[in-house]
Amino acid sequence: MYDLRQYKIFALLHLKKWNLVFTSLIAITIWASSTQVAAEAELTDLSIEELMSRKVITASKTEQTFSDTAAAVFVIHQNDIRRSGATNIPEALRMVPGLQVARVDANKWAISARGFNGRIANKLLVLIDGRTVYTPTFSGVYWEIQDVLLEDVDRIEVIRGPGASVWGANAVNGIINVITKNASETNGKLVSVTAGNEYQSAAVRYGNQFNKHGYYRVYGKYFRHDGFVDRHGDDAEDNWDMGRGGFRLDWTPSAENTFMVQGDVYNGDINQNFIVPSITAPSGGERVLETADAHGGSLLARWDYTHSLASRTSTQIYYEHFRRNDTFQNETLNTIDFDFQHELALAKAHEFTWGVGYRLHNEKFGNAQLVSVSPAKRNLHLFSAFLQDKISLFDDLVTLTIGSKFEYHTLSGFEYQPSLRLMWNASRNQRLWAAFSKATRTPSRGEKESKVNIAAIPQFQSIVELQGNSDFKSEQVLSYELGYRAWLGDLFSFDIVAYYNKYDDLIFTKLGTITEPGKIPLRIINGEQAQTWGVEVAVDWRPLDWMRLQLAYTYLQMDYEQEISLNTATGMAFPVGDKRSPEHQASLRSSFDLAYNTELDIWVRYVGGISDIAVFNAAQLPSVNSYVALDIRLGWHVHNNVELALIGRNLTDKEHLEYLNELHTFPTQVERSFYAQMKWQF
Amino acid sequence: MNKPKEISSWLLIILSLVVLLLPLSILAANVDDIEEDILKAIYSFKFGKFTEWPKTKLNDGNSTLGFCILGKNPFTQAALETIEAAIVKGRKLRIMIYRSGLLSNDALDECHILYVSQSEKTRQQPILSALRDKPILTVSDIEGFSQKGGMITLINIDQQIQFQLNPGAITRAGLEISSKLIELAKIVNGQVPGANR
Repeated sequence: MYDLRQYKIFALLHLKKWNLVFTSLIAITIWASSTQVAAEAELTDLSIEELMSRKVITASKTEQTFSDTAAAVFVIHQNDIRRSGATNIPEALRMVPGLQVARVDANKWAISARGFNGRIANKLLVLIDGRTVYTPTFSGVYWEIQDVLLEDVDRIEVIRGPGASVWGANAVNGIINVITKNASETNGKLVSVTAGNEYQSAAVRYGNQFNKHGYYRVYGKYFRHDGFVDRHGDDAEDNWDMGRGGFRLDWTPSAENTFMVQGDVYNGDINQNFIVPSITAPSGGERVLETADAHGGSLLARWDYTHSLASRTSTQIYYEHFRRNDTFQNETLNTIDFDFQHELALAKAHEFTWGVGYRLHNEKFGNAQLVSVSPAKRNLHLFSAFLQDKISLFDDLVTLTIGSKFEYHTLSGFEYQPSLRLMWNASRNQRLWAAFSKATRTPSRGEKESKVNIAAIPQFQSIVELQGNSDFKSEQVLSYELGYRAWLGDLFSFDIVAYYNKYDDLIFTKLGTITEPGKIPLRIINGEQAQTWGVEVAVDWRPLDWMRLQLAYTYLQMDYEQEISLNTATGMAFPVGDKRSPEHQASLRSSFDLAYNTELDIWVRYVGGISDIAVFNAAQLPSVNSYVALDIRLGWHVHNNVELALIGRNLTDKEHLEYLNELHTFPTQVERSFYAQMKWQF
Repeated sequence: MNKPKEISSWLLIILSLVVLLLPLSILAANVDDIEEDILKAIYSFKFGKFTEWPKTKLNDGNSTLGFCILGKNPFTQAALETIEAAIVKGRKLRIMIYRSGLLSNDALDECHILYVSQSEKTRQQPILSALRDKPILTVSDIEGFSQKGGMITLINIDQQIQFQLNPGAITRAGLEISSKLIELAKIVNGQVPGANR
């Protein structure tokens, strides 16, 4: 909706003003930090008696854990989530450079790393406390059912780039790791209530000790989300609600053993719109508004055992149940997963890790109007093993990490996914790293064994059917990354990553032979190649104790090449794979700690438009333009235990379009929203 | 269509306000207060000045004194920068961080002071038994560290950092500690690591 040219003119007009502001800010920061350094030099000369008599201030600052990792890592800490005003995991992810986050409608998100975004973005692996939430049915993540009590999240680690050598298949473009707090850190009671025009929720948590070395917590939450609006600004009626409850138990019965058990159940009613193909409708489709029933749960147990100071093992097992019934799919999925990992400090220069795993997916499909899968019932097996060695060279100047994952999957056979990472400790506060890796994306049952009605062509009295192909094999990527990071104490940090990815065997479609009248088959094939490259920047600057600025910038370029040319005459080759993503994205978060225990947070985001979006019938749909979003949060710690906040999201416009669902597209716009939050801990 | 301009103007105003407020806030800061982790880092290397290591430990061919951090790094960059130029026993301090919490034997040989991070709370016992015969000064701010066999525990009492000593553990490891430090400490006759085996 905004013209980029406008920005350029605006930038030119105000260049001088901005320059002045920034120059003075930088000058003052340098002055402030130099006085600080002088004071610190004297500190080391103090005697023990003097040290004992000094008063200390306890500031909560976050450690730069990522500084020694030879990968593009970004960590969202609990405090970042709290101050972002986000009410769910996807909204918090918008601050991460290199990620594409778009809201498809009120209850669906499209989230990916380094391009290929979609409602079922298949190249991003997501884990919650070690449990993978990537669905093997359609290769992607149903974000609407991935939820936790946000107050209990310790951090969310986001790694862009292939992480397959440790995490395994489908970690092609990145990994998101949601890690919740140990139960010993959530002792006591918490009540959190949110009310606003688009969203209302209530959550309670209770944590306690069950014996000297054991803690637990239980929680329950319920939320209701209002519907968004359609392309004309009318209510899209895609409102939804979900209830969820769970527990976590952490127990250290002896010095060597730690146990963790956690589980959760959820149930939601999700209203959604589809354009269902119809040969009788002049446009080829009819809107269907329906309620999807989604419910499920999981149970996970982990045992960590310390053998010695140099050796540690972790054993984990989980079970998960998922059920969803709607026009698109009628699916029941049961998962059992076993993982074992052993870490060994072999010698000073070697940190060795190896592991084995097994996963069983038990899938069952019932009849759904749009998708049929045959055979309806199937067991999928995944066997995996990995090895990794982290080697320190030249007196810790260089760290080399080599490793590979080996997998055998029912649908794709044997695969190996190696990586090589090199980090140079250029100086005390500078790191330069490079990585080369190969990763694969396992085919889903959807791509091999399903049939999907994707469109209707009334002129031909025909339905277009997307057909799975049993010969469809894994998608491949070769990735080259280069990164640099530098920091100045806790005052300033800068992180830049550039990458080049080469993809092969990407999913594409080909017009099949018409055997049945009224049915045009589009066959899924490995028919596309792509090259992507990009730059990601993260800057974190604390000019003052009470002020913090965090900038994220993402540049992404995607080029495609098809083995068969797109036949525009028939429109019958459909690029399902090249899910395009914005070229430019930027996010600036400014946080201020003000008087009377108040906090002000201002978050501005720019997201570029998406051209050539890979959606059937894209020409008839509105285009996804660039937008600027503004969120403001005003927080107040009324008391040590009570926090109030007023939050406004997407303040710049009444509504805007962020994405178009790939299939059965019903364009839905994101609305401006306001809400008030109260958190009480006692 | 002039919305972006409005937003940018607002940001400009906020930034300008910040610039105006900056000098005020610097003046307002209390110069005498030290951040807790900086003080703990200074303590940790200062203890080294009051410790005598056996000759064998210091004749290791290195010209540095190893300050090893085991587990998640509890120190901010500012804290590490404060102590990194320090000289102890005529040797330059060398800071090594073992984030994974795992230490091989030859890495351990290069540590003179080992700071056990809060993240290793549940692993204190195996860590301390592995160290029981090693001439390495163990320091931590985990509550009860000295009772469990650690040598020095840093404790925060009313926003002042005090310390506890476990002389038995220090002697057992072959270290000697100056009497001055013993006078200042809140002595704890804790368990000597490995004594119960």
